[in-house]
Parts: sequence; structure tokens; C-alpha cells
Amino acid sequence: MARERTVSGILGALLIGFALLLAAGLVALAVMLGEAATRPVAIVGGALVAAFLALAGLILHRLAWPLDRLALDAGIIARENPGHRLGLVTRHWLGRIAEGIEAMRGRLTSAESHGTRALAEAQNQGAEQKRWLEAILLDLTEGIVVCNLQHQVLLYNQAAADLLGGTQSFGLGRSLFPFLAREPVLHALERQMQRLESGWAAPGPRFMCGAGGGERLLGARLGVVLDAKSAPNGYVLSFTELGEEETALAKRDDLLELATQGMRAPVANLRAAAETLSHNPDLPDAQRAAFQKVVLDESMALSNQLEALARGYRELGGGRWMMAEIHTNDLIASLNRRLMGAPLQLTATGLPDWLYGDSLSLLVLLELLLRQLHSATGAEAFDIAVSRSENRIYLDLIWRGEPIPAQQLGSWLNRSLIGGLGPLTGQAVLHRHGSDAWSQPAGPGMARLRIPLASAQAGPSRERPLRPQRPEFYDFDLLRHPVPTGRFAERPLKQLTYVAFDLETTGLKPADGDEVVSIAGVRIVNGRILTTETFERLVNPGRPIPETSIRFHGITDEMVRDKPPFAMVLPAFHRFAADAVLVAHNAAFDITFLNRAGGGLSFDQPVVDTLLLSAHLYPAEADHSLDAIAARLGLDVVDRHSAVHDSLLTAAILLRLLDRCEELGITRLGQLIAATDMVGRLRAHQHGFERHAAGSAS
Amino acid sequence: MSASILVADDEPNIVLSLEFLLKQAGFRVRTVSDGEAALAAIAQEPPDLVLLDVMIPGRDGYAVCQEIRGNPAWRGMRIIMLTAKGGEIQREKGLSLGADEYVTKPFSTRELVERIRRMLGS
Repeated sequence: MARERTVSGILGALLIGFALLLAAGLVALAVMLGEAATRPVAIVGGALVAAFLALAGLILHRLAWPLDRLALDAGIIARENPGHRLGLVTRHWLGRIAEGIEAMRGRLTSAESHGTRALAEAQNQGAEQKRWLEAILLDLTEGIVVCNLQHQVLLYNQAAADLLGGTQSFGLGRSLFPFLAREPVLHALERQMQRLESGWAAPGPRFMCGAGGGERLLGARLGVVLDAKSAPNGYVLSFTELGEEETALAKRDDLLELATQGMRAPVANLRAAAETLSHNPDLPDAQRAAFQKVVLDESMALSNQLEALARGYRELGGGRWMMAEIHTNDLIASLNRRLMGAPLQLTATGLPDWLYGDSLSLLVLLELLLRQLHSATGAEAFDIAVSRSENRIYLDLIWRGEPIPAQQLGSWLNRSLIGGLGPLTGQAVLHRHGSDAWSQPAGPGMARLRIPLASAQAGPSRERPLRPQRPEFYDFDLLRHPVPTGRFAERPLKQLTYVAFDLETTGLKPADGDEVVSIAGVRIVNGRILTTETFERLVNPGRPIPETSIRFHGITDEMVRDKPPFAMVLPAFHRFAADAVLVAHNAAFDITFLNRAGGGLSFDQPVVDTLLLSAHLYPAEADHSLDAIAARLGLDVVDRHSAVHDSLLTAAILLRLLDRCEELGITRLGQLIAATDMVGRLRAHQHGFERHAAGSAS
Repeated sequence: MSASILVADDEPNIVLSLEFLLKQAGFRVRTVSDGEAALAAIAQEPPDLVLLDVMIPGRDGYAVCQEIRGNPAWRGMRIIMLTAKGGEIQREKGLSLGADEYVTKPFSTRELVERIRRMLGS
């Protein structure tokens, strides 16, 4: 090991070397001067060497050794003991260096003791918070598990460990999924992410989840944990065992069945026998005895059932199935993800709506049905059509081919569903939803499998006031210039491709500088509204949006600040609407904005105006606003907050009006446009402002 | 010749009454107690009307109804479904699958016989 160099070592060596040189110089001088000079040289030289040695000793004592001492002490202070005091001799030549180091030692000591105190305090505080959290978690009968997005357990409580199989197997850092069914958790996480994207931060609805390899059924709730930048980085699961609740629900269902269906048959038997006896007073004795026995047997059976019913109700606790509002678009999007990789093509059609049900079990059921339909019929393309009838939402799976026999469908529905739902069958899922499923023809060569579900009347929508009626715009150049040409003119109306679209604007006067703030549209193909083929863009109007307009469309300056101007959005819409007939309500208003934006784009396809079409088909009606027509036709698009709301409503209205057109013999686009053109002229004439829009917009 | 009716129900007590009343009303009545037997009886001699309980063993009433409607030879056959399932959705299912009427138990036997008379034009 190399010896550590010290200041005194280096300086000492230098001084000794210098002393030796001095002595050698004196000896050389004495030799050169001869014998006579030896004595004086020795005396002077001896004095000089003595003086040098005295000075060297002083330098070493006052400077070199204190410096080495200081270096040693500074090292101890820095590395081992900030409280170590400097061991300097009292007289030294280090001047203020020592004072400076002494001051630094003082600061370091106090900073360290402060840090230690703060650390201790923080540790105490942390320990206290941990004790609080432990006490709270311990006290909860609900199981709590916090996981990261890789589903590793970061925190859990005893209740969670007990419910998920004991602490021996369950633990920190381990994956959640051997203990809890994967699918329901992933589905709840996916739904919660969707909700977050839509701006709802509240925890999602409860869902059912199998645990312990399917032995237990838990009712769980999931909340997403966000990091400092509001990005999801984990989730909290809380859950309880469903055993008792579930049993109570099953009992309630049994009781309800006993109270309704179970009693119908014996009552029917009783009533039939009693009526036969009463209407046939002269029955032969043998037959009379047979009917009397029926009356007796069935009365006994009814009494017993009534007793069982009353007993059951007394024992029954509370509880409800975990139903929640589900948006059909979310359900279909999840279904599409589950079918990824399967040779199935699923097209969403109809008007999106809110239904009331248990999302995962419906999803698993729909997946099972689609896969079975595919293997039974060979069909690969399916529509999933959503329609509403009063308080019922129909989910129809539609394919080209024959309906499925009831018996075959029954056998599919009696199989256990997979996906962490315990031993539930498809029939049980339908039963729980108060539903049933059947297959029937759906037009020529087509078949459907229908599942009726309860509608969620008030979906979690943000209501907005109805838009005030826009002034009717008439511009016959706009309405007539797209004279239906070959590719559109002669095909049946229902077979054409349409794009129903709608603009929101800063105001109702394009001539006064009003601009577009959003554009939305939806495609209609073969008489089906393609719910997933939509176009939605916000647009920066380049001017403030008046409060009066914000009230109706809800689009604020803040929302459009970083959005492109209309001219930049329009090419994308042009591509979206290519080869389609344009449809709008009060179309001249919207077309004025489209064509004014310019950019070398022209919308030269035909335009159908649902306002004029409605006025043509229902001349006796006075109000042809979008909402009035929708109300007359019994149509409703429940998501008023959706950007495509008005486009969807326009599309649904168009399809219903086309049905009426067919009844009246209007089957080709040329006929339709001629008819609406006539109505437009009439209405413009009545209102006395023909070419109002064209005049004011140009 | 009088119209013929097939009663398909596995509840002997209701079959007893229905058979008696329908015969009394002048119909020819046969009875069966499961789905397969119903289809076999129909194939053997197609009745004018089938009184079909939904919850019969084997092929249920819905399946039998769909089978009847799938056979063009039986197009004119009338079907009344009888059921203890009283839900609107079940009713809609029965009518969607081709039943002419959907009658929920318990029912008035007199009204039922009247309805059958009207349906068969007798």
C-alpha cells in the first residue's frame, strides 16, 4: 500500500535536502579557500546551518504539522464524526483556514442534527400514518387490494387475504390473478378507463368476480389510481363475498317464480276443474269424482305453495343484482375486442342507447352466441343492431342465412359460461336480466337472434337544452345542383350510401361572419346506421363563441383553442362523405358553410334535406324541427351530450322517412329530390324569403 | 267432419279439463305430454289447431312452434301457446316464433273454448 503523503513529510524532505546542499556548499567553499579559511567558514557555516535547522523546525511545527492535523481532522469530520473537534496546537500559522474549517464543522453538525430530527419526525409521521392505514384496513370487512397496471399487488388488507385464500399464498409483489378471476377485473378496468376518458372519475359500478378458483363469488368495485400527471398507474379493488347476498337473491328469484309461474299451473288446473263442474251439473258420477279429486289435490298443492312463499319472504334479506347503465357502444366495442383474432366481422348498426344490465355477463353471453352462430351457420359477417321499443332495448345479432332452431339455441344457453362468472349459464344470465332469446327471420335471406333488455331510461347524460329552431334556408342551386347522376339516380333509395351530418356554429348567420365550431356525421349503408362509422371534429372558428350558442352545443372557446380551422378539417370530411348522398336537416344552412370554406373542395353529391322531406310526406304537420319529427316518429337518441347526436337522429329520421317514401311509390333519388325541391319552393314562397340564405351568404 | 285439436301439455289435471270441454264443444281431441310426441302426432295427422304448453318436456313449446312454422305443409295450422310464464318478453318470443295466440295460465276455460271456436270458424 502506498504511504500517504503528508505536508510535513514533503516539506521535511525538502528542508533536509536543502540543509545537505548547504553543508556540501560550505565544505566545498572551505576546500577552495584553503586551510586558513577552514576555521571561519566552519564557524559561519555552523551558524548558518544551525539557523536553517531552527527555521525548518519552526516551519514544520507551525505549518506542516498543523496542516496534516487539519487534513486528518477534516477527514474525520467529513466521513466519521461531524462533532469531532480540531486537535490543533495552540500556535500555528494556519490563520483563518482553521477558523473556516471550524465554522464549517459547526454548520455541518447543526445541519446533520436538523436532518436527523426531521427524518425522525418524518419517520414518526409515516409510522403513524401507516398505523392509521393499518387500523382502517384492518377494521374494514371489505377486502382492499391496490395493484399497479401489471396487476402486481402493492398493498392489501387482512380481509383481502382471507377472501383470496390466506396470507400464505397471497402477498405483496405477486400477481393478483391466480387469486381473482382475470376477466372481470380486466373488464372493469377497461370500463373504468373508458369512463375516465369520458370525464367521469367516480368509481365504477359493482361487478361480480370469481375468487379462489371459482369457489367464491365476490362483489367488487374498482377505482383507477392516477399519478401526479393524471395518468393511470394502478387501481384499487374493494370487494366483499357475495355468498349471502347471492343466496338471498337466488331465493328471491325462486320465490318470485313460485309466486307467479309456480302458481299459475295449479290455479289453472283448479279453475278448469271448477268451471267444468259448475257448468256441467249433470256430469256422470265417475267424471264428477275425477274433477272433484282435481279440485282437492290442486287446493292442497296451492296451500302448500302459499305457505312456502310466506316462509320464504320472512327469511329473505335485502339485496339487488349488480346492474348498471351500459352504453351499447361501449358494450359493442368491448365485444369487438374480445372477438379480435376470431374470423368474425361485427358491424354495429342502429341508434346507440343505454341499457340496464350486468356488463360482463352480457358480454360473455354475446360472445358465446356469436361464436356458436358462426360455427353453426358458417356466417362470418354479423350486424349487431340496437333498437328501442318503449322501455325495452333490443340487441339483434343479424346474419345472412336461416334462423336458429329454438332447441339448438336452448342447448347453447344451457352451457356454463366461461370468464370468471362461476357456474352461470347463458339462460341464467338472460333470466337475471328478465330476458329471453330467440331467433327469427329478419327480411329476405336474413335471420336474427334477438335479446330484449331493459332500457336505462335516464342514462348518465348531460342534458342540454333543445337547439332553437334555425331559420329555414332555401337555396335551390344548392339543393338542385347535385342532380342525381347515373350512379345515384336509379338505385333504390334504401341501397344508397348516405352520410347524415350536422354542424354546430357560432351563430345562425353565416353572412354576418358566423363560423363552424364542430362537424359530425354518420354513414348509412344498406338501410343500416353504422354506429361506429362516425366523424366528429371540433373546429376553431377564429372568433369568440357567444354564450348564447354555448348554451345549446356546449362547445366553449377553451375546447376549440388548439383545434384546427374548418378549412383544415374539411378535407377529412370530404373523404368521409365521398360517394355518399349527403343528408342534413335544413340542409341549405349546413351546405352553405361547407361550400363557403372553399379550399378547392366541392361537395357535388346530391343532398337530401330531412326537413323538406318531412314537410313533403306529412303536409298536415306544422312543426318539422328535428325534435318534433323525432317525437312524431317515436325516435330518441338518448346521448344528448354526444357530438354525433343530431347526425344520428337525422339518420334515424331519414330511414323512417324512406320507409314512408316507399309506401308512396317514391323509390328513386331523382323522384325524392324533385319532390323536396317542390316543397322547398312552396315553403320559401309562403315564408316570403326565397333565396334568403343564398342571398345573405354570398 | 269436426275440427281436430291437439293438446300438448304435461299437466294431467289441465289436460283432463281441456279434453273434456273441447270434446263437449264438438272438437276431435288428441292429447300428448311432450314435444317429440306432439310433433309425431302432428306428422301422423295434422290437426287444425295445437294447444301448446311452453314448458313441456323434451322439445319445449317454442321449439315445437318453430318446427310447425318451418314446415310449409302445416302453414294453415293454428297455434295457441299456453304458459305459466307470464312475462311480456316470453309473450313476444311466442308470437315472434309464429304462435297465433299466447294465453297465460290461469285462464277461463270458457273463454279459451270460445276463442278456439272463433279461430276455427265453427
